[in-house]
Amino acid sequence: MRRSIALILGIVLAVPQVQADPPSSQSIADAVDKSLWGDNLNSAIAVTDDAAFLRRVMLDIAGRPATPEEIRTFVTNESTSKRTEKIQELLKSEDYGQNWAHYWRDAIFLRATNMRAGIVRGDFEEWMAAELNRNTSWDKIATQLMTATGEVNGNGQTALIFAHEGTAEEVAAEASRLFLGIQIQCANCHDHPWDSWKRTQFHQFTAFFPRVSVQRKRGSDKVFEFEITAVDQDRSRNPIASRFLLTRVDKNRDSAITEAEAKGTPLARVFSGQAMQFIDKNGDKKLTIEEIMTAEPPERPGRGSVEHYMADLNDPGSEGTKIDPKFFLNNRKVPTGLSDAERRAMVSQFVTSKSNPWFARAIINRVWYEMNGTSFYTPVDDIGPDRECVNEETLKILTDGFIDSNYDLKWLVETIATTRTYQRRSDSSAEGFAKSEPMRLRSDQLYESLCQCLGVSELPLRSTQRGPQGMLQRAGGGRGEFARIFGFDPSTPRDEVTGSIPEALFLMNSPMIARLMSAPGAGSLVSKVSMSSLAEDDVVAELYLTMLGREPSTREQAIAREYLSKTTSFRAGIEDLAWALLNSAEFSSRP
Amino acid sequence: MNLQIFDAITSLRRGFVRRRFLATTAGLLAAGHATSLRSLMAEQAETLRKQGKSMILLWMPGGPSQFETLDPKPGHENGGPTEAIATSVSGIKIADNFPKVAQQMKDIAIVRSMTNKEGSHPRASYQLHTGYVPAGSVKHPSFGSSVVQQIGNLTGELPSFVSVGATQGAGFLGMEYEPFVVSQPGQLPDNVALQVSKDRFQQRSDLMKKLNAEFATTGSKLLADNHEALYGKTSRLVLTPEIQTFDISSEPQSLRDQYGDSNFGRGCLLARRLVERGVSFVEVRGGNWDTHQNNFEDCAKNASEVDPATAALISDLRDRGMLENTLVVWMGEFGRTPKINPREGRDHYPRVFSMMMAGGGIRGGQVYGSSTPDGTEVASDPVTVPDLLRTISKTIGINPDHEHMSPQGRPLKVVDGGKEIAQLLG
Repeated sequence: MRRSIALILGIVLAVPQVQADPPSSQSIADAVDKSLWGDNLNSAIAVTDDAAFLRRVMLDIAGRPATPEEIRTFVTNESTSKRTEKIQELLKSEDYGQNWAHYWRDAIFLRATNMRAGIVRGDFEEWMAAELNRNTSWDKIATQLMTATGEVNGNGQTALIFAHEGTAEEVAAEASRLFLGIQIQCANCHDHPWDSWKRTQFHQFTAFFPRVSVQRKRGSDKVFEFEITAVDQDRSRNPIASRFLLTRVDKNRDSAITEAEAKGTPLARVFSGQAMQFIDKNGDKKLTIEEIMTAEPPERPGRGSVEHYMADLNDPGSEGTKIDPKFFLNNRKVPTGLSDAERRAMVSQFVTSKSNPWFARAIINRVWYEMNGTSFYTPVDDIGPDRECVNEETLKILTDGFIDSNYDLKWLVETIATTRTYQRRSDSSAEGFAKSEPMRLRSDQLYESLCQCLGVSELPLRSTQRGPQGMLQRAGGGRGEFARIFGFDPSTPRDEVTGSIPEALFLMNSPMIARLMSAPGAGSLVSKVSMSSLAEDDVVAELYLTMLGREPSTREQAIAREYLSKTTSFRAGIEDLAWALLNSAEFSSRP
Repeated sequence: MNLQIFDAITSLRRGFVRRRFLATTAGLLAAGHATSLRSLMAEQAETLRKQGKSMILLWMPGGPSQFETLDPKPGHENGGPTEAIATSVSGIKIADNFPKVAQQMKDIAIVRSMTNKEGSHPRASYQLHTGYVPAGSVKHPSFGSSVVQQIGNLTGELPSFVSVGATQGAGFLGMEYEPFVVSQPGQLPDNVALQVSKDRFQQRSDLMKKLNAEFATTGSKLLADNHEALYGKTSRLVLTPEIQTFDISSEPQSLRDQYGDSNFGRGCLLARRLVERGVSFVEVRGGNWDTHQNNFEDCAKNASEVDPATAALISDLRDRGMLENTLVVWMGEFGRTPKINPREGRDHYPRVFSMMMAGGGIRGGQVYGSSTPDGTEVASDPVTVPDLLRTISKTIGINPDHEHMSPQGRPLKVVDGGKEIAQLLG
């Protein structure tokens, strides 16, 4: 008799879910502002100008800067609700899902311990963008990532498990880090030195994942086809063949099977495969019935094992202690012997449960950081009950609202973007949450910025690396190749991401960028701007608008004017200015 | 007299050391100290020795078979058809795939008793590069980044950590210690050629600096400062004549022939040129040793590029008097199964495998540790990954117990555990 997953989960999680109306973004945004600045909000923080707001909100939500046309339309619009309308418009655009799918692709894959993980990067991007655009709730997305099974290729939700080859410890550690913000894996080898997590708790959490197996797709001859399956039966009790079959194959009845005897039977493939090594123990190229019945495939991480064993640190070679699943945040009793599907469904329920605030707090902390440059906990993926929270009350308001919204991600982004705190003016000298410093763009945001100002839909970049690695890289197209130079893990605090020489070399000297920017023909950026029969100052202004999304200040106009007066030609001067803007620190950041 | 000493120092090592030495000397002499040059030399010796050290990692991706490289077992069924050949050190034999390396044996120490547990490429490769098994949540710095952090010249015109082919990065140590990755060894790196004249590049850069100064006041000083540092470093690289170090075409044809007409050969020659110019850590990847099938053919093919280049590198370093200060390490992520599979291949085997080292204070002409006659176990003197990295640390003069602070605020040593193998040290 098979237990029903629903039944088990029903018993364990008897929390009734009452549907309430989600709170409005505006009301929570107001409460957030009030919690941070009190009643004197208007005097406490200044609001940024329209152009800077537009650049910020477009890069944050849509992942690309505004075009000069969009800037003009927005700045000259006199509606008092235009910012709210812009936020909502951007959340409806497909760009929203794309942008945040890129974010999650990097968050997951740049920590991958499986180098082949790249083969599902594109599938993940597509899947995640679709989920985000149809506004699938965050608990459902997280659940899909934790419970994914079946073919890897074409199934983006297999990303998290495939990125770690199904290795239980790694999948557990990453699920905890990404969805709860809790770095429980630090307790993998010893009790956490200053957190309350015990080593056993990490292994109990890991025990939800041991039956996951990642292997080459059965019957596939392609190098890059994998699948996720469950190992619900002890393989040692599941011999490769039955005694009955063996007696049929063993034609000469000598209790040993030769390759010739096996020909044409299911045992033939054993002789040609790697399994021969552990089955044919005495290496005589004949398989005795005894050898076949007792063969135990070597256990390998990521190949699934029925139970999880915590290694004995004093005797690493031994089997270790069998550990049953338990979730460190609720410590509920979990029935033993659950199947893989039951275990993973249960852990997803536990992690995403509304009675567990860390699931909501982790994603709020991340999104808030990405949009504001400040965070309740730093780094974004190291939170939890043992960490100190900045502005606890504000986080509580957002957490309650987000849970009431049923983990509605668009609601979360809209609420944050609606706060006056988000719309505050850049001020790097301020303290705490008032501080607002331009943030370095992620690889995809910079890629979009370059494409947009250079007037192309893709940069013609192509990896020249040979072999399978090159194949994987070329599959990512110009964007993937660009990310190989500019990519970084978005969980890393931004002030630790300082740029690399190949990045600077690329922007400085890439012949391709130089051509798109300033080739003499009609298509290049400089040609378009300088042929527009504008006055010199206006050409400079147009260049600023196209490249930085704003007009130059008086001082910047003066710097440009002085520079242009000394160059051999106006055109050459504008080429230099375009180069300087593209290479400037501002180009690679958002206000 | 003075000049001779200075020149000796310069030839020992790079310009910045010399400049510092001159400055110190001038200062002391001006101050009227009666310090003799000899004692001055002694004062500087320790620093010089440390800063003079470099490491070249010849990385054999895929996990080279010990049976077909450094630990042949002719006559045993696990040994396959591979023969053992004599080397320049009597009593030491290596696989017939490496005739040229065999001639350099006097400078080489072979370890035949490496032992480890990781049998998957990404995990083992990560571990051999960082000293730690991968953990999704901590990005450990590669050993090269740790070396550069301790003894690299971070203000030189060339980057102090160069890798021919992608490798493990600096992890949480940050961008400053990231390897500069070269994909086409022997020629100039991508995008180093200026698109305009030097003068115009300078003018543009000055304009950019002015704009960044504006941004520093109205936007972000932090980003502007980082940007300035990065563009300074990069401009130095594109403007310095030393960039030509990356272009090996000026080397005599006969020497280039010795290294061989292969990416690995060119990478090794580049490594020597970089070390000569003061680069502290260079990695070069060679071959694909993941020989699950056709092990014997493929090992021979890999060796046809790796053998001449490795041997040429060692002899070239020796000829130039650089071997003493340059440690060459040859290894992959694990070894391969003693048993030959039905596809004439060998599978992953971390339990016992081999590696070799030369120069940099390593005592050559020896084999350390051994495997059992059938090659399935370590027979004597097992060496773990931390043992190896600790020994390397000692010989190139970095502190393996130096603690990095991980982003989680947890102190992590450069090498966690392990013990120095004194017998390997000269």
